[in-house]
Formats: sequence, C-alpha cells, structure tokens
Amino acid sequence: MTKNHQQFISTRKRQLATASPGAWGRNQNLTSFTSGTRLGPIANVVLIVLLVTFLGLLYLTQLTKTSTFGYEMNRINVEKSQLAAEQNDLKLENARLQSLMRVQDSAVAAAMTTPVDTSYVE
Amino acid sequence: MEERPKISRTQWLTFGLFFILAIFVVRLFYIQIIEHDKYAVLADQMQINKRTINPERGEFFVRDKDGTLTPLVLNQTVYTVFADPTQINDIEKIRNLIQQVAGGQAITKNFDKLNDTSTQYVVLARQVTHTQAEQIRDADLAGVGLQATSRRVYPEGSLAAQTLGFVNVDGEGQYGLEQYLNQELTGEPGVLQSVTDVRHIPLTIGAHDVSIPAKNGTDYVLSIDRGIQANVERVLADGLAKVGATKGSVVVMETGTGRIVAMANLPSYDPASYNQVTDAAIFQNTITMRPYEPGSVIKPFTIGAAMDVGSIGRYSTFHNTGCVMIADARICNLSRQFDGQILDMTEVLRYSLNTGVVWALEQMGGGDINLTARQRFYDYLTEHYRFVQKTNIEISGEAIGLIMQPDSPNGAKVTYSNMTFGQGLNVTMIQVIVAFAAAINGGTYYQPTLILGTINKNGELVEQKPKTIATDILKPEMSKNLKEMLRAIRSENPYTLQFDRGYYVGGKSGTAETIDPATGKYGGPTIGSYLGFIGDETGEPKYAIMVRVDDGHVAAGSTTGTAAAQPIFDEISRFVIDYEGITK
Repeated sequence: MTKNHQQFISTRKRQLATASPGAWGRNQNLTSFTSGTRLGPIANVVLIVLLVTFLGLLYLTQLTKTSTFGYEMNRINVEKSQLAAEQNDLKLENARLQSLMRVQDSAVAAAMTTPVDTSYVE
Repeated sequence: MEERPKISRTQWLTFGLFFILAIFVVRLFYIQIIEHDKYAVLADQMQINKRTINPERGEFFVRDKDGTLTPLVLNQTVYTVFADPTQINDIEKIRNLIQQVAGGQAITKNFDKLNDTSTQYVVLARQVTHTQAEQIRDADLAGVGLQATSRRVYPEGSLAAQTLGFVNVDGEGQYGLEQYLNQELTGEPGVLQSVTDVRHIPLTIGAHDVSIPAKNGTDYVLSIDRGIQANVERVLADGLAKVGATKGSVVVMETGTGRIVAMANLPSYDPASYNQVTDAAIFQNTITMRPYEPGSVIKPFTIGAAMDVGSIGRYSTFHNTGCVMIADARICNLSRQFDGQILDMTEVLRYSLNTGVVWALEQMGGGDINLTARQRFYDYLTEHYRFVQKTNIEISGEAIGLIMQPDSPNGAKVTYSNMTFGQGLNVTMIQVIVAFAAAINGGTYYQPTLILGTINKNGELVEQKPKTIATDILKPEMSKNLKEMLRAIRSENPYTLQFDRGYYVGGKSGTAETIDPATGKYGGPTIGSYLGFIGDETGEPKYAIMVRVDDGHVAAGSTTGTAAAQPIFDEISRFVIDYEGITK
C-alpha cells in the first residue's frame, strides 16, 4: 500500500466472499446487492409455463384476427362477384333492348310508313 | 424392522410416467421429424385448396353509323342446378321451388331421380340466370347446388352468323372469327391457392397462398357496320326471294383500307342455337370458304392485266365475230347483237363479250394464246391479283381456289381462254373483291380484315392500322382507266342510272355456268355475280361490293348475274351512298 492511494475495505465479508474475482479489484469502489427472496424451481417452471401460454394466446389471437380478415375478404369477393353478375345481366338486357331486331319490332317502327314519293335535294 | 425397498413405489411411478412420456416423445419425434415431409404433404392436401380461375372469353363489338360501339357477342354466366339425393331432405319443396324459379329451364323428367339414392348428381335445371340462381341459393335447400358456366349471348340474333362462328360446349370457337381468334379470345387461366376452412373459404394465413389473376381474352371491335350489315342481310333475303333462290352472299369492303363493313350469307342460323342446325354446310362462310367459277366479273381483271402489260389500251378495238375457235373449242358471246362490229374495250365490258377478252389474252402473247400469253395472264392472276393465295382474313378455313398452270399439257389454250371470262378457274369471293379493290384504287392491295381494333383495359378502342400487302397490282394510270371503264358501264345505262342518281358507281355482272353432276359437263344451274364499287365526287373509290346468287331462277333471255345479283347490288349501293353520306 502506498500513501498516495486510499483503500476502501468493505465490511460485508459475506458479499465479498461470494463476489466473482473479476468484479472486484483493487481501488474499485463497487458493491453488490442480492435480494433475499429466491424463486424455487417450481416457481420458475410456473413462470415459464405462464409466459409460454401468454405468448401462445397472443399468437392465436393474431392468427384468428388474420383469419377473420380472410372471411371478410371472402365476403367482399362474393359480393363483388354478385354485383359483377348483376352488372353483366343489365349490360345484356341493355344490348337486347337496343338490338336492331327489337327496334324493328317496336311500336314506333310499326307506326312508320313508306313515303309515297321521294325527291332528293340536289 | 422391515427393510424398505431400494426403489420406492413413487419412484416406480415416476419411472413409469417418464417411460410413457418417452414413448410419446419418440413417437412425436418420428412423426414430426423423420416423417415430416409425408405428413406435411397430407396436411397440405387437406388444408390447401387450389382452384383455377377461368378467364372471361373476349367479346365482339361492332360500330354504328356514329361510331358508337354496340355489342355483337357477349358472355353470360348461367348456372346448372343439381341435387344430391343422398343429402336432400324435402323432395317436394325442391320440386316446387325449381319449377317455380326455373320454369322452362327446369328438367322435370329428372325430378323422379330425386328418390334414387344410388346417384349423387341429378341435374334439375340448366341455363338458369343469375337472378334465378340467387332465389334458389336463398332457399338454402340441403343437397341442392349450383354450378356456374359461361355461355355466349347474341343480342343481334343471327346477324353476321357465319362471320362470327360459335362456341361449342367445350368452350372452343368453331368456324368464323371465333375459331380463327380462339387463342386470343380464350385468354389465360389464373390460379388461386390458399389454406381454407372446412367450407373451402380461403384464409389469409400460410406460406402457400398463391393468387395469380386470370387474363381475360381480348375484346375485339369488328370493322362491320351494324347498320350496313343488317341492311345487306335484309336486301339479300329480299333479292333471293324475288328470284326463288335460297343461297346467296354479299360482301362490302372499304377500298382504301381493306376493312370489311358487311359480310352476309344466306341461309343463315342463330349462333345461340347452333346445336339445332342439321346441315353443317350452313356454318360455312361461302365468301371465304367456297371457291367458284365467278363468270364475267373476271373480265375487268383480264382487261386490266392486258392494259397493264401494255398489250392493249383502253381504246384498243377489235372485230367482234361473235364466236372464235380456240383449238377445238368454239367460244361464243351470249349476246349476238354486236356481231361484226368494231368495238373498244369499254364496250367489251359493257356487252360482256367473251370474244373480246379472249382477244385481249391473245394480245398478251403477241396475237396468239401461246405460253407467253398464258404465263403473263397466270402471273397477273396469281402474283398481282393474288388468286390461289389466302387473303388471311380472320375467318377459319379459308380456301385458296385453283388455277391451272400455264404449261399444263392438255387444253391449256382452251382453259386459259375460258379463264378470261371467269370459267375454268376457282376463286373465292373474298379473293375477288380484294383484288378488285386494288385494281381500281390505284393498285394498292390491302389485306382484308374484319377487325377494326381491340379494346384496352380502360375500355378504349385501340385501332388496328390497315395492312398494305402490295402497291403494284396495276399501274395507277391503268387502274384509273379500268375504274372509269367500269363506271361507264353503269353511267351509260338508263336502268342503272336510276339507282346511281349521278353518284360515281361502277360495276360488272357475271353469270357462270356450273358443271352438271349428272353429265360432268357444263350445263348445271348458273351462278350470278355482281362486282362493283361506289366512289365519291372525285371518283375516289370508297366501297367495293360483291354479290353472289347461287340458285336463282330468272326469265328466259336473262342471266342470273343481271337479273338476280345486280338488283341486290343496286339496292345495297344506294343504301350505302345514303347511309355514309357519300357526295357526288
């Protein structure tokens, strides 16, 4: 020991005894505290099981949520298909109503007459 | 004191439990690790549902006068209603519902099979519409299912039936555009693969999800004009009825683009009911599939070729003797009232003189129908006018016809003489009208087409440009001469003048003899044709029209070309002039 260096010696012998050699050294003002409460092996297992269960539930929740989106997508797709089919039916009906055959057979066409005489503007 | 066992019962129990656990662990290890692939495949088979998304077949549209697109062929999703007798509960309820909803589409004879539990598929109704299918679905009957299929719908009925063709039960295009464009119309199927629940509803989980959308078939806009097509079909039907004919065809083409604006054949059929047609010949498009000897409508081609090689001129004259001897064959004119006259080439066309066109052929060989004359004429027919070649119009099964080689050992002189007035060669109407358009439009041969364009993703028309095949069919000056000669035929005829009303219209009739199957010689019923054009006030040709009447009955002294085919041309040309607002 030199005069230029102060030295602190802890009185907590038990703690010093249990400290790892690497954590302690000269002129290092360190201390370590350890809780008096210790978990036994059963408590550790229970905690791990609880943790795994929690994670499992979290996973299942997310999975279910994702699946719900699948049902929602399917519902929208079915609705989309039905609307497309209805649109197609309307398109067909529109085409039928505008067909030349339909126009020729219409009441308006039936009321038309052939002109007696035709003259063309030169 | 009793000695305690070395291993207690608790320890035995523990060992036992560990042993059982070990069995489970080993078994699970075997299943999950060693046999992983096998069970993964089995699981995928149960959970992953893969289905093909059928593409929608392309549709056809036509133009109206104002350019509006009108559907000619559309798709409709229809449903087949079926039942599984092993699953149904209430037969009477099913019967009543199907009869009430499907009506005429219900297959009532199959209702008795609902009691037959040896089968699991009984068709109760076909071609049920979406609205009807919804009513059946809403009833939620156990054991009753719906199967969606697609069918073609034709809002315009039989309009342009042979041009369109039809789609068979396998979804394959048959005849016409449907067959020719089948690949483009079909599109490409898509794939939907995902994990599904027990009801086969896709779930958005799993690494196996695949979603490749189907690529629908191309939608086409045809060059056919609905108004002209409908009128052509009506005029053709009336024209055939007047001469007691049953078979006839008309094609109308833009001379400056090659686009077909009308293509009609009679008798026709309803493509929606193609399965009710008993004579498959009705499916054929006569204009592209049935070559024939067209008769005197070929004369303008002969005169045009002879003028183009410089053998004759428009005003060249010849002495009409009424008949000429070619080898051992005597070729005569139908009309003998011009015998002994000196006539020019316009008069040869106007009076349709066979001797005149034979003379023109002789001039191509220096005064004889020698190999040079025949070779030159053959070159014009096959290389310039492009006969005996496919025009590549978008109709399946196009025929190419037949023309004898110029160096054929037997009867080449007689055959080539006959060919000058349209006998002894086989060509299709489409070949003739396209070559005719080229011969009068300045010499440009456009590939004939029925396609105006396609419809893109935004619903806009993407127009297809006309395709030029050749520009030297005839020299421009010769083409102009030919056009004016054809116009003169009509403009100097009081009968045709009343139809033309001063508009620039030209044309030539033709009546061809056919081979009598009984004798194997000419003498069968004649085929009448008319080939003409409509031009604007500058004389620029706009439309070419060709008419064919197969089995017309006309008065003695008349020909089917002038009495059966020409009136149809007159009527159609007048309509097109008014419809398109052609000026004079």
